This record gives sequence, structure tokens and C-alpha cells, in this order.
Amino acid sequence: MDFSKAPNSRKLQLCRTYFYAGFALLPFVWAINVCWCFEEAFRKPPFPEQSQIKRFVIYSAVGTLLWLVAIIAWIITFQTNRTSWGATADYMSFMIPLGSA
Amino acid sequence: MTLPEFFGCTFIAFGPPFALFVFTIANDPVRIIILIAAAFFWLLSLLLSSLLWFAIIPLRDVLAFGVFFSVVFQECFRYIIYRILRSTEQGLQAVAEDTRVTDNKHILSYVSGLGFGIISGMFALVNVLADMSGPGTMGLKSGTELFFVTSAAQALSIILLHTFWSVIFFNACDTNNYLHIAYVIGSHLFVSLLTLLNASELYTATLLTNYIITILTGLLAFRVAGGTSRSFKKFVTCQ
Amino acid sequence: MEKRVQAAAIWLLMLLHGAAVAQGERTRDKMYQSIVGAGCFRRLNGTHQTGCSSTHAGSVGVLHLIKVEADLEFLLASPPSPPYAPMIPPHLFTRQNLLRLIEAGPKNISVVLLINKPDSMKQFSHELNCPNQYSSLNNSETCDASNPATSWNPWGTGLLHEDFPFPIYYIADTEEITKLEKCFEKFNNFEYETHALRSLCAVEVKSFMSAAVSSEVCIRRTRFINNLSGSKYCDPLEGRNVYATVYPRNIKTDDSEVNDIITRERFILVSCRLDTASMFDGVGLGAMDSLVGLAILTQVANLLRQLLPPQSSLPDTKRNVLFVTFNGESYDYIGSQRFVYDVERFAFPKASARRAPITFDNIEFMLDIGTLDDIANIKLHALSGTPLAQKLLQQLNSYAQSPRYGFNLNIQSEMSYHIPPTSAQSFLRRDPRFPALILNAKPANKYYHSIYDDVENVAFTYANTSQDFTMLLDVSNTKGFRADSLQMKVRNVSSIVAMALFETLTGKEYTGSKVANPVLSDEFFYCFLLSADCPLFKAASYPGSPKGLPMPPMRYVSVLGGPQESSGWTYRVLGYLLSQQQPKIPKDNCTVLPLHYFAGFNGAGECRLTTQNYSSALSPAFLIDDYDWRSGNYSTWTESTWSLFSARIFLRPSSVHQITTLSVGIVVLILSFCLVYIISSRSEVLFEDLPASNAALPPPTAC
Repeated sequence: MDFSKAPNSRKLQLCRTYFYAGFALLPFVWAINVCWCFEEAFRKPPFPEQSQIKRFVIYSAVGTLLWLVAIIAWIITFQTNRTSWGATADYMSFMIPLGSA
Repeated sequence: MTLPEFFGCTFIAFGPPFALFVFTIANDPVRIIILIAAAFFWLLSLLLSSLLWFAIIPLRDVLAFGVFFSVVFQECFRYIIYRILRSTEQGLQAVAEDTRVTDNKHILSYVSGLGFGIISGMFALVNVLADMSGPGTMGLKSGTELFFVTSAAQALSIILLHTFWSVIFFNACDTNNYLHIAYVIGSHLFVSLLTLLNASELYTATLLTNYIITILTGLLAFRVAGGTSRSFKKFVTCQ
Repeated sequence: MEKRVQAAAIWLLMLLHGAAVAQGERTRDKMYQSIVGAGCFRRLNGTHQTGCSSTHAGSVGVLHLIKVEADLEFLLASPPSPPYAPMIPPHLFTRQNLLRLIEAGPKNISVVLLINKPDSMKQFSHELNCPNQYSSLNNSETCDASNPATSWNPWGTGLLHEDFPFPIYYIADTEEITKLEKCFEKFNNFEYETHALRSLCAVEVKSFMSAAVSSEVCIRRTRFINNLSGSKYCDPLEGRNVYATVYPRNIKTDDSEVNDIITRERFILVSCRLDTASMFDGVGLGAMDSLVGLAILTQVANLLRQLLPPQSSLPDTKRNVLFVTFNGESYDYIGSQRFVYDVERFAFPKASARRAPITFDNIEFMLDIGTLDDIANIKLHALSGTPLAQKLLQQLNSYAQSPRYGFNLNIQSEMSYHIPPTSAQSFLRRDPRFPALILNAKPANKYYHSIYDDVENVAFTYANTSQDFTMLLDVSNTKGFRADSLQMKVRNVSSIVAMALFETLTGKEYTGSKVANPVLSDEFFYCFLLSADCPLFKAASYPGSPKGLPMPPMRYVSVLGGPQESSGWTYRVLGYLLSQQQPKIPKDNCTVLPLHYFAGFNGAGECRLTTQNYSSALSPAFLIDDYDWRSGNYSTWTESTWSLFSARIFLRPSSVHQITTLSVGIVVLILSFCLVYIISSRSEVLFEDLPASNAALPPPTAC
């Protein structure tokens, strides 16, 4: 489906669906929503549904960003503390490095 | 061979062909197809040569024998691809978006020559590169440190030579210029046999001769493709 | 014209020359030369990791031969082209030097090669001053590491218990050492200041170890359910104890369990150590540190089997002698700890042996044969001077000093907490009142637990008499062995021990003139020190079974699935020597244990009633759920897994050369991009008369 050729109401509906779907712990859906609808929300000449699309895009972007920050923070914490956490960290891992703590 | 050495050699051997590919091939699908088709035909010639090498057991250790027949097979396949390209010219004209391919016959020969060259250079060098993974360089028992760079430079000269040879060969076939055909086969044979001298580590001699032949062949190809000293002067002086 | 012909002729000649010379040779073979040797690997206990590991891809270092101590300074004080790989002879492989190399860090020292040049070597023991200190009796008197007079291994450096940040590779073969030295001389050993600018001969050692930190961590990771890749990190050290009795025990018929412990059965437990240890994989015979004890136990077994009257004619017909060789004793008494653990739980012998369990009440006393470095200095150790100890000491000395046998030995006694590091420690740790007596000599082994505790260390020469080694000999018949030979020393000590035990069992003094046979020791040491393809092992095997390998059996305890050569051969030898011949049973009926068919000395084959069996030598720490790894109750040693050991030498390119190659490549790449762009954008100018030539072309014709 060519998104840019879809009717405006359909665009809004898709954008909204994607935004709500992201709440099911799916940050990538939000990220896709931002990429996909950015053009419609900010670049295209104004149309009635644009303000709503804009809102969903901004919310999705904020959600993606929060996720990104959270995940990066976790990765940094985990990687720097893995050895000191000992068994707990091992039970959280699937791949344990060979030959080191 | 260490990682910096690996990348250095790869850039030397495949930098120029990569540049050629990016600027002259990549934007035209027809040229890409022809390039790959040419590479495929070169592979077929390799297959035949290796079958022959495999079949004739007593001569397996005599590399010169294998080299000779490999050159013969390569030239045969160059002729085959010439026939195929010329016979599909009408069809190409129909599908090509960029009409230059069919307008200028030399482009076809150049593209198929580059395909021949790239695959041949890859086989010449990748075998060497793959065999040398590890932290060492040449020179423990014999050989010099320059072995890798020499191999890369040799591969580059072969790639360029194949391109030039195809341009000359295709044109010679078009114009029935038997002298040019003889030159292509002869120089190919000469260059290939020359590499056997690398076994006695005469790298300077072989590489120098190789590049002299490459330049001569390049000049001939330039002439054949319509270049003259006048046009070169114009090109250099930016007119 | 003439010149051209000449040039052509020269080229043709060169081509012909090339064709003749050019032969297919793999470039890899020109660059690398493999080096045969043995690697140091990683072992772990409950709290630490010890040993060595290379990096994952293999550690590379520039060869540097260390001839004198001063050569090390070059490597330690800002070396020009690090990392280096010092080649160290054994006399410089000291604790101090190694610690300095560790301190220099893997950036400077990436590999250490130990080369087999023992000329200036005076001592070489990397075990602790107090072997198995933390699993022995917890008493300052037992062993004091700081006091050489009371430590059990005064020459020990303790390097076996260090963790090295680089791989250590031992090169035994002189040819391989020559290869290394030649390469060093040719490429490295001149103009040290230009090392950074030229290619140097380097070595790469691959010995990457999977496990890390401690046994607790690696066992947890191995057992871990999320371990998707299924990788194994470490294995517990595990082997088999071998035991046998002088008199066969009754076979249990019903399946009732503990209640059929025959309380009247009395055992004298005679034990020794089966295994040894060294730093390098597959090297290390432990000739003096444990093989002498095993030889004596074997001889005692053979003597008692032949001297003792039938069990029914003993004063106490329920008495028996139980010989046990404990495996894994070098690593915190794995075998004896497990034995004690099993006996406590009525699990020895294991159920499949179909014999009544033995309890501590059944054990009359234990006579443990420790290290007997110097037989003139043997002491009988016990925690306290019990009447039992006094009596045995008196018996031993009465035979040792008896003019009839002329052994001329004096066995002293030491009744204190200064107990040698032998299997008895495990029994005494459980109960200090356990009647354990230990025969042990004053430590004199400068190569304890090392690769150099070999044939030369015990001064063994094989006499190869080809005579029957099973029968006993008259005391005057020395078969031509010199009085100070190893064979005679073992004969004397084992005869004394066997006679004392004989007297204990029968209640009568031994008055016969038959003593142990030095030929048996001769064959025994030949099998265990030189070649497993030997008469004794052949006699103790099934007729026509595959020959042993022409190299000594590996005596390191190893892990589950390891070779277990040493326990296998000991099982057969003890089985053969401690069994009774059954001439009436034909070969076809001699298939079910305890009947076993042996080749025998002459290879003719004989059916014998045997008593030997295995028991597990896996530390109880690995059996107990939620074992506290830091408790120190049981041995926690594990061995890391690894995929390969390899070493090879080659030329390492200088960084100048590498950077030059890379920059040339990048310059070529950039130049060609610029050039091709210019040409292709202005190709109309360059190939100006194209359309004309194209138009002139005739339609394609045949070529």
C-alpha cells in the first residue's frame, strides 16, 4: 500500500492504530509510526486530520525516546555491573562470555 | 596477514575496479547484468581449466601447462561472450533504458571485460588472502614482506588488462583485425606465464613488465575506443 | 633488431626457468611453522582460578631467548616492540621471575615458553610448600609454609596455584627448541633498537580456556538451564580409586542393604596415592612423588598374597587386608575424601559390586604409604603414640634391622600433628582418633609435582631381565641389581611392610627367607615410567588384548571421559597380583567377575579369582546439593574446557609495514575514485571520434 496515496481519514486511522499498538510494550511500532507519518504530519500542506496525526506522531516520538533512554540505561547498568551481580546476572543472561567473569 | 595489511591489499587490488563499477556500471541495470554474465563465463572457463588439470594427472605439478590451457579457455569464452552479446544486440536495444549501451559498442566490450577482470582478480587474490589469515606475514622460510602488496598489484593489473583486452578483442572481431586478436592472446599468455617467475621471487621484474604491458594494452584500447592524442590533449587541458 | 632477439631469448629462458621452478605450494606453509609442546591450562577451585589461558584468538609475542637473568631486564624495562614471548630455561623459571613477568602485564609479556634445557637446573617444584594445606588437618604443626624444616615441600614455589595472564607453553623436544632459537637469531637477536621498525620472529600460542573465576561460577554456568549454546565451561576433576583385598569377600546374594554389614569383618587398610600433578597437559610422571609409593603397595600386595595362609587358618578368620589406591589426591584428596564420604554412608563398595558395605568399625587400622624420597629416613607418623602404633613400629623395625635379611634400615617415628600430606589426612579430619599410621620419608624431592619428576629423578635403569616377576625370591637372590638401585630399595621397604603386616595378621613372626622380587619393581617402573607396552601390563591383560601405547600412562587424575590410563592399568595389575589361580576352570567359563582370564607372565592364559574393583573418585562437593563452595570441606577442583592447544612461529609484520600497506591502499582507492569520476564525466571529450568510428563499422560479421 502506498501510504501517501491513501485517503486522509485512512492515514489518521492507521496512525492512531499504530500509536495505541505501541502501548503493548512495542516501542518499535512507535518508531515506525514516527518515520511513516512524519511526512504527513509536518511536510504536507495542511488538511483537516493533520493536527491529530501530528499529535500521534509527537506522542509516538516521545514514547520511542523514553524507551530508548530506558533501554540504554539498562544496558549500561547491566554491562557495568554484570560481574559484580554474580549468579543473578548469569540467570538473566542467555549468552555468557567464555573465559571471563 | 594482519587486518591493516588485509585492507591495504584489498584497496590496492579492488579500489580502482570498485571506482569503475560505481561511476560507470552501477547506475545501469543492463550493464550490471552484462558484468555478472561476463563473470559467469569466466567462471565457466575456470571450471574447464580445472577439469583439464584434474584429468591429466601426470601434468598436475607442471603449472605452465595449466596456465597455458587456462589462457586458451579464457580467450575462447571471451569469443563466446562476444558472439552472444552481438547476437542479442537487438533485444538489448529494446529493453535498455539508456541507449548509450547499444549506440557505443565499446561500452559493451568494456563492461564484459571488467566483469572478466573482476572475477579473475578475485580468484587470483582471494585464494591468497584466505590462505593467509592469521597474525603473520611472509618471510619466515622464504619470500619477502612485499608478497601481499605484490599480489594485490598483480591482481589489479590483471583486472585492468582483462578490461583492455576485451575492448581490443571485441573491436578486432568486429573489424576482422587478426593482428589485434593475436596481440590479445599473445600478451595474455605472456603475462600469465610471467607470473610463474614469482616462484623465484623476481617480483620487481615481473611486476614492472606486467605494468608496462598493461600501459601498452591500455593505450591500444584507448586508440581502439576512439581516443587520439588530440582528444587526450583536449581532455587534459580541459577544453 | 639483434638486441630485441636477445631480449626475447632472455625472457624465454626466464619463462622456462619459472615453469620449471613453479610448483604448487600453499602460501600458508611458507609463513607458519608449528611448534610441538604442552600447554598450561586453567584449573579452578571454590574461590579462585589458577593456571593459564591465551586470548580467544591466540596470544602472539615476539620471541626473546633468556639465557641469563639479566636478559629479562630488556623485556621488563620498556621493550621496543611489545608484546614479547620470553623463552625461559627451567633454572630461570622461578617464582620471582614469573611474578615480575606477570607484573609487566599482557601488553608487554603475552606468552611464556619454557624450553627444556635443564643443564643448570637445581630444583623445579611449583607445588605449594604445604601441599593440600587447606584440606589437611587444621593445625599449625601439621605444616608450616614459612619454615622449610617443617614444610612438606621446602622447594615448592607455589606457581601451580597462581593465575597467569599469559599462556605458558612447555617445549620438550630439542628440535623444536632449535627451530625457535634459529628463528630468534635470524630475525630478532641484533639491533634491538630497530625492533619496532622491522618484522620479527614471533610465536602464537592458542590455549583459550572457557571457564573463569571459580568452580562455583563455572559449574553454575555449565548446569545453567538458559545455557542455550550448550557450552561446557568446566568439568570436575574425576577419576577412579582402585581397591582390592587379599582374601575374596563373600558375594551378597539378597538385596537387603545396610543391615547385612558383617560387623565381624576386620580390615587392615593399606593405601597410597595413584595420581600426580604438573603444570602442563600430559607431561609429568610423578616418579618420586607418588609412583614409588604405588610400587611398594603393589609389591606388598604380591608378597602378602603369596605368604599368607588361607583365611580360614588365620587366628581371626574374619581379618582381611584392603588395598586402596586413591586417585586425585594431588588436588585436595579427592579420592580419599570420597572414600570417607562413601564409607560413612555405607556406600563402599558400591551396590553393583555385590559385597557387604564396609564401615569405619570394620577398619582395624590404616597404613598409608606416603612419599618415600629417601628410604634411609622413613618415619612412621601418627597423631598420638597409641599401643597400636608402637607395636607396628616395633614390628617394622624388627624386620628392618634383622640381620637375617640385612635390610639395615631404621624406621623412626613421629607421633605428633606433623602429619605428611597423604590420604590419611582425610580420615583424620573426620575423626582425629582414627587409627591412621603413615609411612613417609623426610622430603627430599626437589622436583615434587613437576615435569622433571621423571626416570632420571629416581635414577631408574631398566634391567629388562625377561624373568618371571610374580614369584618371590630368596633374600640373597638380588638378580644382579645393585644394593642402591631403585628396584632394591623398593624390594626392601615393601618386604619390611609385608612382613610386619604378616605378623599382625597371623600373630606369628615371619621366619621365611622369601622376600619381594626386584624384577617386579623393575617391570613396574618400566611400565609406568617408560612404556605401557611392557611385560607386566601384558601379563595383567586379557590374552591378545591390544598392546599398551609405547609411552608411559598418564597419571594426572583428569576429568570424566579422560584417558584414566593409570587407574585402568593399576586395576589390572592389582587384580592380577592379588588373585588366586583357578587351574580347573576352563577359559570359556572364566568370563564373569570375580573370575577373570589373564594372559599371565608367559602369555599362555590363566583363570584367576580376583578381588579388585573401582570406586568413584569424584569429590563429594559435586554430589551435595547447594554445597557451600567456600566451606573448604571437600575438594572443589575443576578443570576448564578448551578446544585446542597449538603453537606456531612466523614473522610478525612491523607496525610501520602495516601502516604503509594500509595507507598505500587508501591512497590508491581515493586516487582511482577521483580519476574515474573525471574520466567518466568527460568521456565525450576523451573518446571524441566515437560516433564516426561506430558508423564506419560494418554490421557484425563472423570474426
